[in-house]
Parts: sequence; structure tokens; C-alpha cells
Amino acid sequence: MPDRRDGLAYVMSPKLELAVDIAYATGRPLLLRGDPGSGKSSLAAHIAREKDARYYEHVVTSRTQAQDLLWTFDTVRRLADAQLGRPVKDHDYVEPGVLWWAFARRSAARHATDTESNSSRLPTHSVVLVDEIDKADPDVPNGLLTPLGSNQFKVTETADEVRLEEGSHLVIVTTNEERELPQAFLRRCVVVWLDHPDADGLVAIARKHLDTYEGGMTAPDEELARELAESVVELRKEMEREASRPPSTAEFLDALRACRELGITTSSPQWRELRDMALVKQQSGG
Amino acid sequence: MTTQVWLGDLLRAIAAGAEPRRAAEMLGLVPESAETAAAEPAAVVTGSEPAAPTPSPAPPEPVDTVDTTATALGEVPMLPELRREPAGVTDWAPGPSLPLPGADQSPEPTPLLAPRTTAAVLHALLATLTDDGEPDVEAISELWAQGKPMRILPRHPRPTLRFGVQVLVDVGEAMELFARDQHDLVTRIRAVAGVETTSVAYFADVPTRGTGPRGRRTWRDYTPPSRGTRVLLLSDFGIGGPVFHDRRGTPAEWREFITSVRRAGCSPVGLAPYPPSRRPAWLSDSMPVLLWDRGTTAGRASMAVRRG
Repeated sequence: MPDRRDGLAYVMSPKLELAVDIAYATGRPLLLRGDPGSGKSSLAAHIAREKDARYYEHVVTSRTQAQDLLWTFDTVRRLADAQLGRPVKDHDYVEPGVLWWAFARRSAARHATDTESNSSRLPTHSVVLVDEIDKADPDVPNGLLTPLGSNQFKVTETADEVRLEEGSHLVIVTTNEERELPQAFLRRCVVVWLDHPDADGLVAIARKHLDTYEGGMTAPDEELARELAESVVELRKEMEREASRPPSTAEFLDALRACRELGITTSSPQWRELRDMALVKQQSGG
Repeated sequence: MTTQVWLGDLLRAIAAGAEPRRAAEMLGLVPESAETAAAEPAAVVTGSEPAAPTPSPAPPEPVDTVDTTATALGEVPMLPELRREPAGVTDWAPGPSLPLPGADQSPEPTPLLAPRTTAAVLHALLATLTDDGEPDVEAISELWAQGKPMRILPRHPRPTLRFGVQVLVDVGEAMELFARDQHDLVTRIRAVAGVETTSVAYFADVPTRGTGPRGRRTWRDYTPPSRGTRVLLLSDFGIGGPVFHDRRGTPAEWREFITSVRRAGCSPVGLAPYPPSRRPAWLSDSMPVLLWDRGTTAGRASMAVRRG
């Protein structure tokens, strides 16, 4: 599985550790900026695992509205029930969103139709991932200002007040810079930019992944990872000069897996093709 | 090195005890009197052409040697300069100089839209309405009351940018003045509407003559974008430019373009850097056009777009 959200393998830089600490200390959301594939979305699951916290994620799309992260109201089902003459209670059609679960787990559990997937984790601590918020209309970040700032919101259909019950939570928001975020939203976040790791950093990430998922890193693996990491660093410089998208850390890991499986090294005849397919990924042919 | 005679020499001579008239005559500053000429004809050295004006009143050049005039004048030894300081020397301490403005330090031009509200104006201008807002209870009640089947759940319209934006930039002669504004606005549009969902094409005078993503070599016949996309024109719509502008887009060409955009299910809207009073009537009747200026607010943009 190339993109795992189990939080098992993640190498945190000192800068990122500090950013997380600041977000916890201030109670502000942590906004992660950086190129795609730089590990923004994986961080939340890793922190949740490290702290044994409940983990919730919402991947934002162009149709997402701010309310979707708080609650959804099943209008169609309620309408159908009303048409069929069934007894209708508005509370039955409210489904808690990720922020409701993070703020008030017990209250959310009373409304939820599904069972909670995080029941084995600490009830007093949660980590929420709001992934790719830049995909949504600009209204979405603005609509989250009050809930994120005050840790409470009101369900309009039922007039229920949802407030922070107990414990602490960390909201991690990611953006791929698809569009500018409102200044009011930025002001309320702890913002950190995830830089591309250098060759040593890439090798460390490779080691962590191989140790976690592949049973360990052998000496040939390390040599291969080093070769690939240096190639990726060079390739990044070259592609940044050409104003092209540089290869990401995730693509480096893909290339490493492919090289290990297929027995390809940077001196192999197939290396150039593998590099073009797994790392360069040119938009146009030729 | 010779030194031109000037008033300072006369003052020095007088200070040294010379008779002023005599000294002035000797220095050639005044015409020599008849009696002096008769008494000492050989003493006239520098005053042979006293009426000739000095061509330029430049300050005297520094001299390091004794002025030979003194020798010529014999008994007037006070004229040679002993020490001269270079011109322009003062006791002022040099202060730090301001850095010279480089190519990248020129002041930024003031944008046409107010910077603080540009994002809101663009959002209002570029968003299209889609029926996926809150359920429209009144419409639902109406259907129920009439006993009609509800095939589609009526919802309130909601503005969204998810259908994308096509920006058509007029690079014709009449819009050359606004090239920088167009470039900056396209950058802002990408920031508001999203890089992936914003496409930019260029044209000259009217889009039906050809559009393309880069220079004129890339221009082809205009094709409207996918259904629902907002089409924004940054153009003067033939208002500006020279009076006898022979390539100005005609109303028929503009109407043809607007019709093709609407037929594709897209909604055109324009930003023109000229006031409504200069817009032709056919334009105001054909599509919403907003003034590209400071006075434009998000509310005005929203109203103009809704009026369609």
C-alpha cells in the first residue's frame, strides 16, 4: 500500500516537532504547507498514534462546505420519512462531523449512526486532519473560523450546542497552495512549511519505512537508497531550474520500492525510464 | 598653467596696499586711464584687451607655482597665490548615500481594484450559482401543496468556484496600457479561483478572431470551455484605442462571441477599465460588464453577475 495512514513510519524534523508543540501550547490549528507528497497528510495519523489519541480525517473536495466538518443533516431521508408518515425527530438525521467528534466525543456518539472507529484510543485526546482545504471554495476556511477559535458551534437544525467536553485536541489542516487562504484563517493558525528533505533525510525516511513495513534495511538497500536520494536531490535542482514540479518524498519512496523489487540501480539501463516514470513524470510526451 | 584674473585678485592686491584703481587697471579689470598709459606704457600686460569679456566665469584653476604676473608687474608682489584648495572642498562630513534604485526596485503600480477587497470582488465576479445550497422549504411546500411529485429536491442557489474560470485577456492595441494590470489580475484570479481550475487565453480586440494560451503563434479559433465555467474578459470591448482603430472589434463579432459562450452553457462577464457612460448600449444589453476600478465592490460585482 503506497499511501498509508497508519502513522507508523514518519520522520519528524525538529522544525515540525516545534510546530506541533506550538500548536498544542496555543490551542491553534496547525496549517501544513508544502509541495504534494511532502508528508503533510501523514503527520496527523502519526501524532495520533504517538499520543494514543483518537484520529479523524476529512478530505476536502471542491463541493465541501464548512458545515460538513461540523455536522451533516440528512434532508432527503427526513423528507422521505415525513412523506411516509413515520415519526420524525430532527436529532435522528444529524450526523456528526470530524470536529464534533474531536470536540465532544460523547455527544457525537449519541447522534452517530455508525460506531466510533477510535474506541480503543484515549477518549480525552484527539487529532483531526482536514486535508487539502485549498480545494474548497474560499467560504470554507472562513466558515471554520468560529468553531476552530472557540471550540464550539451550534447545530442549526436541532439548536444543540456542541462544546469542548474534556481533554485536548489538535487540528491539522493541509494545503497544496492550489488557492490562497483567507488572511483571517491564516491569522488563526500555526503555519509551517514542510521543506524537501536533503539526501540524508531521504535515506532516514527510507530506513524508517523499510524497517517498519519491509522487515528492515539491508546494506544493499541503504546503498540503493543513498544513490536514489542523491539522484532525487540533483533532479530537484534541475527541475526547479526548469520551473517544473520537483519529485516528492513520496515519489522517492515509490522509486525505491520499484528499484528494490525490480533489481534496478542508478547505473542500470532501465534507470532512466524508471526515473522518468516514477520521478520526472513529464506532462507532455517527448 | 595660467590663471584668469578675477575680483579676488583685486582684493588681494588692495589688501596688500595697492592703490585700487591702479591695481584694477593692472589686472585688466578696468580700462587703463590715459595718464597711466602715458606714464607706464610698458606695464600693460594683461589689460591689452580690457573690453573683451571672459568667455566663461569658471572658478580659477589651482596653481602650484608663483604667478608670473607678479614678475611682470614688478612692484606688485601680492598677486601670486600661495595656496589654493580644490574647488568644492568643505568641512561637511560625507553622509551615507541612498542606494540607487535597481531594476527590481521600481515602485509597484497601484492596482486598479482596491487591494483589500480584490479577493472578495473576484470571488463575487467569478463564482457561478449552483443549486446545492440549503433545501428550499418554500418550493418543497409548494410542490406538496399542489400534490406534485418531487423528482428533484429544490435547493437554494449557492455561489461556487468549483466549475472553474476561463480568463480571456485582450492584448490588442487599445489595451496595451493595461498590460501590467492584466498580468497582476490574472495572478490574483489564480490565487482566488485556484491554479488548476483557472485557464488563461489571450486575444486581440475580439476573441472570435483567435485565442491562445501564449503568443499569437498559439492562437486558434475560440472554443468555449466546459459547461458551467465562468468566462471573464479583461477587455475594453472596443471602447478605447485610437479613434480610427481599424482592427476594433465590431458589435457583430462581440455578439457572436457572447452567443457562443452562452450556447456552451457558460456565463460571460467582463471587466473594462472604462466607465459605464462610455460603454455602447449593445454591450450592456449583451453581458454583465463591471468597471475595473477602485470603486468596484464585492456587492456591485455580485449584483452585476446576478443580473446577468
